[in-house]
Amino acid sequence: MKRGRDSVAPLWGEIVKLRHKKVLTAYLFLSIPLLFFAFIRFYPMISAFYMSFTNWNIISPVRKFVGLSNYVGIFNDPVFMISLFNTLKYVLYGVPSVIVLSLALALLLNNVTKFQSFYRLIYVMPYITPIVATSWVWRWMYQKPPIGVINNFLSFLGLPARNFLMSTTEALPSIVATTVWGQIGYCVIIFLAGLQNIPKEYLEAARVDGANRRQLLFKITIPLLNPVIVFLSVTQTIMFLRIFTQVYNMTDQGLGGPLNSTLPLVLYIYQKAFKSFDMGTAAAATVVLFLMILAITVLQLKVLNRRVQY
Amino acid sequence: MGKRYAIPTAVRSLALFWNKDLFKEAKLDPEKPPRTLQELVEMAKKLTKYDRQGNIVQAGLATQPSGQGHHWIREVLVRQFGGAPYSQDYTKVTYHEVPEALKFYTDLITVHKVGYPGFMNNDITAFTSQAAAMNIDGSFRIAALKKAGINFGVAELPEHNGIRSNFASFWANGITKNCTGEKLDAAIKFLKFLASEEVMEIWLEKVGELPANPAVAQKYHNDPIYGPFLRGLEYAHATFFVDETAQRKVMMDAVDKVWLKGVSPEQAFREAAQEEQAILDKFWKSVGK
Repeated sequence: MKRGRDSVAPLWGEIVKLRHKKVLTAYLFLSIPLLFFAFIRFYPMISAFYMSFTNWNIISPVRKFVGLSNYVGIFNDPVFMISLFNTLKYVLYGVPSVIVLSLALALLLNNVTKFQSFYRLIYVMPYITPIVATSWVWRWMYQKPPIGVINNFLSFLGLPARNFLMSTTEALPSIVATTVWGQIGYCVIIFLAGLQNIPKEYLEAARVDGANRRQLLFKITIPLLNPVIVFLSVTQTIMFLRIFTQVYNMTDQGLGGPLNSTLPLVLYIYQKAFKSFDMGTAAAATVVLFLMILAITVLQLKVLNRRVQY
Repeated sequence: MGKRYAIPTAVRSLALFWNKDLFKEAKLDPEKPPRTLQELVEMAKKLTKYDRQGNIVQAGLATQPSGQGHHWIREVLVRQFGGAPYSQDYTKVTYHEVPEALKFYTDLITVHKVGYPGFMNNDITAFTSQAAAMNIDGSFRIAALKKAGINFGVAELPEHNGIRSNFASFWANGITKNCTGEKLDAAIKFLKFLASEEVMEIWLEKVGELPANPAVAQKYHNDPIYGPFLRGLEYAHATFFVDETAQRKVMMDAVDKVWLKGVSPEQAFREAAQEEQAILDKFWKSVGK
């Protein structure tokens, strides 16, 4: 008995030690990305928060504390307010378009058995092409005659030329169209994965019960795709809230024109920070954007994330 | 006193580029560029081509405020129509007192229809691809145009009411006050190299940047290509920009308001002056004036 205990105790100790070791190793490995995030993400974030309460021109050694005056400044700046509304327009036009179009394409693709991977490749091509390149290609396609492909087609049909990027009303939707075109491929892939996860039995059972195609889609498929829809809505909303590259490359001198009609928040921040060297104002606008993304994301998760079970 | 903070290494001014082949095509004398604003408008109209639906397919004159156009309006047209763009010390905006200057520019787009901002993407693409017959640009475009094989000429900017004006700017290189010892010696050596005749000649040939050293510049005073830029310097004005991107945008917006929104040039210029004054005030306040 005594002997037995003697032999068990060290073994138990070994196990505990080993477990400790494993846990320690895990923490050690986890600490590396943690440190990375702390320095690359959180530290700049906190310093941006602080910067938003100061007046700093990027080269001066002094950063004057000015309290809330940067926030007062941006909310009194008509251009900031325009950029805020433009950003919401990008989300409101862009997100539903991406979700509806890519879901429709995914449903069609799901029925295709031959060459499905070929089709998938075609749709995903715009997504894997650098945005700067696709933006410039679209910028040229949107040109007025004699060089714009779209306008040349319109004039071939005998229709008048459109101003697209040169119009204060058409420019933003034109940029949204380009962005939607670029994002569809990615969303189609995610939707297809979601569709293939829906058990065939549910659909067959419903069909046996006499459900028509409409009912199958709206009562079975879409509710079961809810987690995918939530995921894509959240990520696409964040993407549209942070839109920059397309606007920077598709507007004259990257200024978000004509007449600020396409200027999004991130481009406003960029201009304030790296063109006017007004870091305090830029940081204050960044904090506003951060709070906006946070609020909208939380709201979306609350509203959309309802579990569906059959 | 007597201390140099930075030295100019190249100088820039504006001139009128014209495409001799397109002049010939329009039955205009390819060796006679417009001398006045009135001639400019008349020739530009003859050089503009439209398609059946009335879209411009060849611009008589490229109009691009985001390029050099905003300088032309600010320092040239405003003065030629009898005003001044700013007060003497560049602290007060005064160009809105001569809305005729903006009207002349926007009339090119809305009344004479000889070009519009963004035609062929921008003025540079339009002129380089021979889709614009004339453009107002800087000497820094010369090498690229030569390389593109364009048969072009360069003339001093057209005058108006007998007033000649031009916009000038310059590259300046300086040494920061924290630079000492070996690094300072190297910096001085490099700056001397940049300011040498040899480098200025290279920069002129490879890009078209005008020599800042008058002795080098003098050699090209009567050159058919560089000459008009150098002679233009004699009556040029340099704008005291405090935030060039923002100030340029003010002028771009003024033009856009007129041709896209139908706002009157008077109102557009008044609003521009207000916006630009705010930019100037913010700067002068920040430096304690």
